[in-house]
Amino acid sequence: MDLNTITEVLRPADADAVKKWESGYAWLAGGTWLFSEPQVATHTLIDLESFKWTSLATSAEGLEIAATCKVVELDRFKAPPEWRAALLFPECCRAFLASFKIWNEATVGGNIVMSLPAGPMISLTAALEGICTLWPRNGPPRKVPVVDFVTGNNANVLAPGELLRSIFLPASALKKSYASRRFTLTHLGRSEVLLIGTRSPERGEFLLTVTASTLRPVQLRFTNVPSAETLESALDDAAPFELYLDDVHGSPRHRQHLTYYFAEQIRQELSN
Amino acid sequence: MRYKINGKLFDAEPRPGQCLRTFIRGLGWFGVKKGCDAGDCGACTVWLDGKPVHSCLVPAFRAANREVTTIEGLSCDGDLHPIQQAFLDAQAFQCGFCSAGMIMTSASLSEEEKQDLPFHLKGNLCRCTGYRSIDDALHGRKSTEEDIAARACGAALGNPFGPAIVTGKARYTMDVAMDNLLHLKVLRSPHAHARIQRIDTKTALTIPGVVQIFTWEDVPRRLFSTALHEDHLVDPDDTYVLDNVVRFVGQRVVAVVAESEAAAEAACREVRVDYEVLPAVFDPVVAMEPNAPILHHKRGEAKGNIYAEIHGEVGCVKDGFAAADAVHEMTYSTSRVQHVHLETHGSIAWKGDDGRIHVRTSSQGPFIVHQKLCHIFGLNPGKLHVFTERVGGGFGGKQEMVSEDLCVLAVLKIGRPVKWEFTREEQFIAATTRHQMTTHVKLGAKTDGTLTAIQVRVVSNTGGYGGHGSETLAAALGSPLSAYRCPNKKADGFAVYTNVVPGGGFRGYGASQSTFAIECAIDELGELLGMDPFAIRRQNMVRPDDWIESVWKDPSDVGFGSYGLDQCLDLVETALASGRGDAKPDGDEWAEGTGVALAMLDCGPPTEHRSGAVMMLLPDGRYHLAVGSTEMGNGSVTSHRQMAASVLGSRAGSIDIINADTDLTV
Repeated sequence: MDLNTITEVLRPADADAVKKWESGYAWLAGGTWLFSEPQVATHTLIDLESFKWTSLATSAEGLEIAATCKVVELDRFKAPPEWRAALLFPECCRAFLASFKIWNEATVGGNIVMSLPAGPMISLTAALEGICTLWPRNGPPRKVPVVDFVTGNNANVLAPGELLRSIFLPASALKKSYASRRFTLTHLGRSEVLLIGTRSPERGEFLLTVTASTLRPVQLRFTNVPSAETLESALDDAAPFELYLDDVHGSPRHRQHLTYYFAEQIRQELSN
Repeated sequence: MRYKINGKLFDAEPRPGQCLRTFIRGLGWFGVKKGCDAGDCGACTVWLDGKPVHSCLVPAFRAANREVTTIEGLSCDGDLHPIQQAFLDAQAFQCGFCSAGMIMTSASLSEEEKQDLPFHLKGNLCRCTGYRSIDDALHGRKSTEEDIAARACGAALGNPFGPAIVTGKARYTMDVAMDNLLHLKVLRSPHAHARIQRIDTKTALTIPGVVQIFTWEDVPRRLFSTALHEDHLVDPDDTYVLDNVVRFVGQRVVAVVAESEAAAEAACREVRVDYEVLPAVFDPVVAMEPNAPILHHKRGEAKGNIYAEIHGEVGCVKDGFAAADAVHEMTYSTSRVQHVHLETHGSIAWKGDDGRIHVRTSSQGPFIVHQKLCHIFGLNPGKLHVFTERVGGGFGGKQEMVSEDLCVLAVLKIGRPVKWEFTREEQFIAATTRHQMTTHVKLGAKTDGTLTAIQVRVVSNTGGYGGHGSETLAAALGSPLSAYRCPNKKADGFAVYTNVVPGGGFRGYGASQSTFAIECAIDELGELLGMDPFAIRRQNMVRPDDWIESVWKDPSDVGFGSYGLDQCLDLVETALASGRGDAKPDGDEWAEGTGVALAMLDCGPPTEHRSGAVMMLLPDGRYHLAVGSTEMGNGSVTSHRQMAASVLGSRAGSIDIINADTDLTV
């Protein structure tokens, strides 16, 4: 929709050009959220497209995803065959409630910064042990794991004006085998629960990432595949009932039930 | 900046926060529609460098130096794109408001992608729910038949506006460019119940572009009802154009008219209103209690918040329950629902060179809007013209005058054309909804399932204003009770004012709510008696030689024209037993069940809402048919043309049709 309070669009050559952060400023990535509701408190958009960041950069160490990488680019990314967990890319893109048409404009970074429980780019990058590079205004860059970046429903660690620059997925995580489970109350609807388990081929390490059902991602790490009881009790400790989201897409009780149900399925699948 | 739209180059500068949708429309490409304006419905789908996007979410400046294709640019040299032709062949539209976006999305899909339409079309909503015919179109199935003279009636003929719909040329309410146009926006109440003490518009009036601001002191102090019925006496006159008391969150408080929507919105944010907040009540049962805050005093305190009550009994339910072997009693409730017609409410009004006021509106009842506007503003009926062109869905929601009055007020005061288009949010917070109803049902039956008594008590929440409250209540107590034969029936109904968004007309018009309750109760009575849901219905459902009788002893003007209820049940039972449904997933944890419900709607000759038709033979041998009734995707223009063709023994295609215009139709 028209954002009638916007009086200016800035297109700086780089982020350092934006020294003083004013209330009323907003970074513009794909715009698919910003333009979906009135932004009465915002008067200036700062266009991230003008930075022309490389969307996807592959190296032996892993994959660097620019915050401005379009969802469609991630969906179509051709990963090296040894990155087995890269099959999660198209799978998580399909976990969007939004139409595929939105992927043509929406960005990976935008989804993470929105920090909604059902954000599938959070599920993906948290499960693959992603590290965010953050650019504060007037300070050195800092790194925060995706799983710690999101702190609650629509809440994260970003300070005013701080920019998510990129998300790095280490090759070690991309090489892991994985199992995932998702449930939506309506066909092709919003995720009520999205669980991803990974297992290291060499060391047998088991990592379970719970998203969508909880207010923020919950990650459980085990040196090997745990017993059903151990996993259940770890979930009890890491995700108390208050942490489950309550909205029209699922009740806390149902979300909790599915979380345990799917966690056990993933545990069994990755046991073999 | 340079923009290329449908192959044409434009040098234009969008506003900083403007989205691509309004920018393209501003350049005259009205095929791009606004449904939700939030990226969900897909009505605004265009191609950006060949890729489909929701233009409401794309910042307009991002399209600079790129290629934009709208529905108008899809066909070339007058030839329809194959997808446009397929939509035409399958008649894959009803109101047609979603079609531009639906076609632009479909035309971008590969053959492989077309195999999974639920996924690829989930970003396109057809509120008329014509998905089956869209599926037909995308799989090359044709549903239209040839238009042959004297055989038009009964044939599956295409909508006369089909070619305009699939090419984006059909003009909906907002699809016109007008010079000198002003925009109207309203400030809405943040309180559920409050008296306005003071309105300060001083700062708001200083905002550049603001022309005038109207408050309750600027409107005729004349009561009316926003509900549209030809017989205005069936709805309560309880509403002012603007009032000094607000009765629900979202009620209009102040109207701002400005040179742009942006200026009008900015002014709304600067208007200061002092409210005396009053006690509010939201539950209709609580609202009926003696000490509840009263919403409308002029109806007399004795009735409290009960706007309408209806009672009736045939036979004697007391005796019926005494004779029963089993009695089932339960309370059922249904929630409010918004219609979500893809085209939001809105109208454009102006003073013509003829000195008359013209109102172009998105309405199901332009003739009644005409009546009401004359009443409110004291206009000479000959000096007012109200019409629709194409309406993008109604579903009962547009049997309501919620935008026309303020536009006409502004035109009368300012003299310039004025447009007011609802946002999608306004639809939800401040249009109307299906009435929330709570229905208590008590059924008595013999051991063989024969009903001995039916008793219902319906409490309908009509919200802050009465509107369709009494008529929908009457419908709730009508057909759903007539569907079952029983010597003893009783109903008590109450439509009650509360401080929530008003109820309105909505498909089924009250009957859906009590049908839900009665059908649940019949099932549960069957369970109590150990009877199959089909058996208990067959035992009690109305039969072709019965009177169609609810709870009123008066003779009914409705009789059976034909009867197929028995066949309906047989077909459903056979289909359920056929096993051709989807199998349940493996595992004992999955429960499985089947269910059946029946609904009847009696429709007799109307006592109001009559419209006429005028037909003319044109010099070129074609016919011109003018019909007063409204087309909003219901297909009435198609059937009216077929009826005319059967009278004339002609092809339907040789009849031009117009409708719903107080100047040109009757």
